[in-house]
Amino acid sequence: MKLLEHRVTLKFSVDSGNQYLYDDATGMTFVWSDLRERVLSALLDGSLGERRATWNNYAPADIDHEVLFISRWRQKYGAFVRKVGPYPPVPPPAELEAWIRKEILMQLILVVTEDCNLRCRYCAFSDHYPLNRDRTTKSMTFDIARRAVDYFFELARPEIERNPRRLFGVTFYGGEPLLEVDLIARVIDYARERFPGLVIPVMTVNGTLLSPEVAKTLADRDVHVSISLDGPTAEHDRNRVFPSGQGSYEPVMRNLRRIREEMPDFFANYVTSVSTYDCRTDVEAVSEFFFSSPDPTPPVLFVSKVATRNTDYYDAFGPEDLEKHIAQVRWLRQDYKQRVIEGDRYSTYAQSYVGLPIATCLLRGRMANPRPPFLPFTGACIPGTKLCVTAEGQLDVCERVNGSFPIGHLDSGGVDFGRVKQVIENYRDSICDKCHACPVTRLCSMCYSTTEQEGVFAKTPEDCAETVAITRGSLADYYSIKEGNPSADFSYETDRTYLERRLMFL
Amino acid sequence: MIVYFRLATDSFLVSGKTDGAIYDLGRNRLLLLDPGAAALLKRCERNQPTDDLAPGSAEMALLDKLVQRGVGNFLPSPHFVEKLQFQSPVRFQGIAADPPRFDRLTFQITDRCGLACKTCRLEGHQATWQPCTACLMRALPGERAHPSGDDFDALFDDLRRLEFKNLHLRGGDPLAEPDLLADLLRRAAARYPELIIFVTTPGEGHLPNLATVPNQVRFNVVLLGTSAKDYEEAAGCGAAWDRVVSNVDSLRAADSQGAGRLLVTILLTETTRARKDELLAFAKDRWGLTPGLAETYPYPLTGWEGPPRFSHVGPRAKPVAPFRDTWEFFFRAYNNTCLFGGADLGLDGGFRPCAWVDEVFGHWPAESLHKAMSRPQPYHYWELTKESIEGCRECALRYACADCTVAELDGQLLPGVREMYCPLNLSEDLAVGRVRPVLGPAEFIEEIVLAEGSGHRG
Repeated sequence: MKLLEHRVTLKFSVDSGNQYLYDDATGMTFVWSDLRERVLSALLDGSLGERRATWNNYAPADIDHEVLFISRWRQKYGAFVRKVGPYPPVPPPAELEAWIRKEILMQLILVVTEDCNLRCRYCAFSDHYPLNRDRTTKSMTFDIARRAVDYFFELARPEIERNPRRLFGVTFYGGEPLLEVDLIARVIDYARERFPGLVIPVMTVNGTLLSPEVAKTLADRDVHVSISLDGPTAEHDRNRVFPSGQGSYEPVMRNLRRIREEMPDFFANYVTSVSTYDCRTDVEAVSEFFFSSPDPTPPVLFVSKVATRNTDYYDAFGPEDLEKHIAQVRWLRQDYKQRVIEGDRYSTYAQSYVGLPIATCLLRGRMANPRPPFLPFTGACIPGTKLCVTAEGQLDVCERVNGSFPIGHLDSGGVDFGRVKQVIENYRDSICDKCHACPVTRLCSMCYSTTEQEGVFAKTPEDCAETVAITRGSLADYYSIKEGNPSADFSYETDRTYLERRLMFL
Repeated sequence: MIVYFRLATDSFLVSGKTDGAIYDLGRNRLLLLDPGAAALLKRCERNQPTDDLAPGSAEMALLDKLVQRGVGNFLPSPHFVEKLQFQSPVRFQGIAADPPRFDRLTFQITDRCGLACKTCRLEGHQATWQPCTACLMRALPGERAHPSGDDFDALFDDLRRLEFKNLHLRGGDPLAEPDLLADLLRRAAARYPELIIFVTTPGEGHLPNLATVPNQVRFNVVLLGTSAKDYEEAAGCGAAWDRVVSNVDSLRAADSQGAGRLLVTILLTETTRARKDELLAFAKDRWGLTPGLAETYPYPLTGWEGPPRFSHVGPRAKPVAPFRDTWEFFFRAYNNTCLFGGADLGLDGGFRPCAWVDEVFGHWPAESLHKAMSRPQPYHYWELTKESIEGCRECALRYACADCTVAELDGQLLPGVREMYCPLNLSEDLAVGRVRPVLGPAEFIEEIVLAEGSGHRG
């Protein structure tokens, strides 16, 4: 069978004007030049002999050097070109099950309630998102939670046996999970007793219910808590409101101030923030808030954009909002880059918003970080990496999908690995048909949650173009920083705990 | 025009104290740099321009030479040259921790032995080279563990679950406990038949019925000499020689198809050190085998004429282990080549990174192998790279040699031991041309020397 060959490289220029080439085949990046480009193109189309005769501006020795360079990287490391045939078939369900259980299972997510005491204007369960489930008053029973825990750790048994260092995240999701704090405490105690030393409890909360008493319940159980915090009062209260319309900033801060004072170790080691923005967010002000506010501002793990798919939320914004936002983000990027180059401190908001995409270029997979051959492209996980259990016991790929692609139910034997196979095949057929020719697959974050429609997965050419453009920008920023300061510290290399914490909330 | 010189993406400058080396992964070779050349390359890698170097100067000649060899190039402006990596640079713990790649457990099953070697149980009084491949034993301070049959079964189950590839049974002499050995081999065959088991023995004890020994078992017989006289001198038991040689003959006969079920290790001691080649030849002639080597010296290192050396090391020579491919280079750069993948279980039930390393990270059978391996200590040793070893961390050859870690660790603790296995002070030796003839193999190492008087020394 003849394999198709596609050049999978991305050229980019940095602030100094230097050119580089990112090669998705190896995950490597090379110093690039016009001559290198000519040589690579000529070698790929077999016209080197003919074309080099016309390159009068270059010394023969320089051309020879580049030919050697390109040839060595092609032959020794398989650079520049991806050879592809048809995808290998998704393994049969039993094989898939064995592989998932032994290799990749890492997190149980329990949707302990679908209710919330806030009515945030951008909430994924609001009317702005008609394809998502609605907010309801349903909550999980202890019996379902217990069965989910038992089932998950039974599923993880091969991984536990093989990997004595492996821990497992148990995430409590909502709605607002702290509406069910007693259930959460009971579930953690149960899981810790049944599976000692294996459980890391995690949750994201809106902070209004995180009284010192509740915080103590969580601290006693080593729960990692992330607070949704969108910035200073004006920013936070613009969207994060009670049903009455009243902002939630002050109640959140009241709780955090007391926790900082009364439980400083818990506050310092277990409490973080997640922050959401839209086109009207004043990112300069928010970044400054997380950098120097006298109010307690736990370090930001994530900065997320209000979801843009299947929503009318953005109808309220005009082009002027977008322009202003783009200008602010540009400023934030430049400021962050400069600070990293000069070794100055920067806000955790900037680190998450603009620093993380840049650092992703550093952390990207290389040759020895292959994805599963049957799903080699995009950032989609193999369903089963996480196991999200709804309040009623349905099993979903993750907490961010809208429930269109359930992969099983606790009442019907747990994960249906035949269904997992179908989901992978659907996704692959709908999303990955052109990925083999894409130059940024190792940096693509597209997945089920970012491509789901009602019952199908879909993307547009613009989605891919945006991914390539963002990647090019991030690579350019990363190399601009590294040119300015080759030993620039992005924290991620030296402080692995930051990434690991982040991973738990991913 | 300002010009910069940078090494290629797959060429690594490894600094020594004053010298250096270019590890050229594109071609699997090593270019040794004298201090002048190393200093020049260091400044180039810091993006300092080369415009102050006169055309035709020794420095420019050297850089031109490197360009011709494809390990670097001139650039018109400062660049960030990303170095080749096979993996993302972050190794996660916790919920994203990759499963460890377990290779071998060494397990001391007895301290009984029919020999009384002068070189055994000399805790703190010997310097050793690869003692784990021999039958040398340490005098452990604690009480011995008392495992039950169920404990052994659980151990084999853990070995299977954790996907260990090899189990090395050691003593004493495992053949001195024939019932225990037979029981263990039977349990192993029942619970983990894919496990390869090595029985390291001085070969003096009672050989089991080889027809009943599972195919998964290999015997590693440690020779102390090649005559009754040798055994009398080494172990006070000249009569043992006949039993040893008869046992090895039997094992060889049972392995007549050459399936690799018999290995021989020669333990070099006072008795045999001077006759290393003779011992090797004996094993080759009689059994058609090329033995491995282990060695021991009494410590403190007194009473020697000149500094003692392990036998594989010459006065100004050190064996170099060429990396066969790019993977091997990275493996050495990130891991401990000796300890990676391993753990030891002593007669006292202590789990250790290696039988010759003191730190205990678990107690069997009260704690399982699985539990012990959930702790961070063993992995710390797996990742104990040359950067952690005094003397090595400043040696430009540090990824081109693969030494016994015990010797390395002892070398930074016990005066005089380092020189026993690594007599090189590369910076000085290279500068005066003393190491050139002995570094070989020539196709792997090439020496790059900046001409005298170049003005960039030091």
